[in-house]
Amino acid sequence: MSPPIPPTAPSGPPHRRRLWIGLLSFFVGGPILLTGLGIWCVFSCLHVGGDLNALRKSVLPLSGSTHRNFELSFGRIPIQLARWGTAFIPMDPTARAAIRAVHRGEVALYDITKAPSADSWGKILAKADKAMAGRNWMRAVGVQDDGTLVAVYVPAGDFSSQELEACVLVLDSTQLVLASGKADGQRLWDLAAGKLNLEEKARFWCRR
Amino acid sequence: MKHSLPALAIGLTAILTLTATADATVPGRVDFGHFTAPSKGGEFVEVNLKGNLLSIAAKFAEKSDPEISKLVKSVSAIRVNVIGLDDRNRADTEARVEEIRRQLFKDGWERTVVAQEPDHDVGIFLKTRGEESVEGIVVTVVDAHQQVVLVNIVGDIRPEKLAEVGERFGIDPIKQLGKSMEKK
Repeated sequence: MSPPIPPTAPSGPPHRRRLWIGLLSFFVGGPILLTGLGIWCVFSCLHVGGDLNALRKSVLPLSGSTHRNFELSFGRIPIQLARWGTAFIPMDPTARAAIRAVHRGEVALYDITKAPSADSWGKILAKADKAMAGRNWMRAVGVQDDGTLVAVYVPAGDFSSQELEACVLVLDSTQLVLASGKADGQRLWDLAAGKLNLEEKARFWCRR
Repeated sequence: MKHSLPALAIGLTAILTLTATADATVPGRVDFGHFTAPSKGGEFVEVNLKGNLLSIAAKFAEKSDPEISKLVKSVSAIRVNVIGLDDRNRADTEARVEEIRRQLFKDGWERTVVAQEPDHDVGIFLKTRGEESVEGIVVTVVDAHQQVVLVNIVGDIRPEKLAEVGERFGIDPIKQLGKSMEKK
C-alpha cells in the first residue's frame, strides 16, 4: 500500500503567477533600470572619454596647476534625442541643420591656477602628439602665438567627408580647453556655403 | 607674408583642418625636420595637410567654387612652418634654412630668387616634371632675422596655375613667380 500523498499549498493558476511576476518586474525593476540608465547617461555626459581622455591625460600633468571647470560629452544617443526633441520646437532651420550634421561632441574646460612657461609648450605638444599618434591621430595644425597654444588633430588614416573628426587643444595662461567632435563635413560645408550665399544675397538686396 | 601665412593656417583648419615626418620618397616632398620654438611664446606655426584631408576639402568646394576645388585637387600635401626667431633659436634656424636650400639645389631643384635684400631673403625652389607639371614647390623666407617661413606644396600643378595657387593660399612669392612666368 502506497503512502498517502501530502496535500499541496493552494495556489493560483500558473499564468496568473507569471502575470504578477511580470507586473512586479515592470513596476519595480523598470524604475530601477531607468534610474540606473539615467545615472549612467548623466555620468557619461559629464565625463569625456576615448581620444579626448587620452589627450587630457597627456597634457594635464604638464599644464601646471589645473582645476576642472566642466566636462561635457554628447554621444550618439543624446544627439539623437536632441534631434527628436528639437523636431517639435520651432527653431532656425540653420540651427536644426547643424544639429542634424553633428554626430557627437565633447568638450572639457580646465582653469589654470599656475600656468606652465611658454618654454614647456614644445614638451606639451610632443607629449600630446605621442598620445594621439598611439590612437592613430596626427597633428594637422600647431600654433604658438600671443601666449596661446593651439593644436588640431585629425585621423591619420582614411576617413570620409560624412564622418569628419577633429580634436582641438587650446592652452593659454588661464585656461585649457580640449574639444573633439564628429560631424558630417559635407552637410556642415553646405550649411556654411548656404549661409554665406544668404549673406551675399542680403547685401545685394540692401545695396539695391 | 607675416600675416598671410598664419591666416593660411587658420583658413585651412577651418576648411576643416600630418605627421611631422615627411615622406622623402614622394617627389616634391621635403622633410624640413623639427624646429625649436622661440622662448617667451614667440610665433611658431606648423601646418601639415595631406591627401585625404585635401581631397575632402576639394570635394566640399566642388559645388560652391569649382575652380578652387580643381586647384586643391592638384595639390597632394601642404606643409607650412613659421618660426619666430629670438636669441635662443636664431642661429640654428637660419643655419637649417641654409642647409635645406643647399640640399634642394643638390637634389636638382630649380631655384628662382624673388627677392634678396639685407633684411628680406626669399627663395623659391621648383621640382618640375618636364615642362607640363610642377611636382613640388618650396618657399623659404628669412625676414629681417625676426622670422623664418618655410612652405612646401606637393602635387601635380600646371605651371600656369602657380599664380592662382599663390593667390588662393595667400603666398605672395608664389603668386609673383606665377605672374612672372605668365609674362614669359
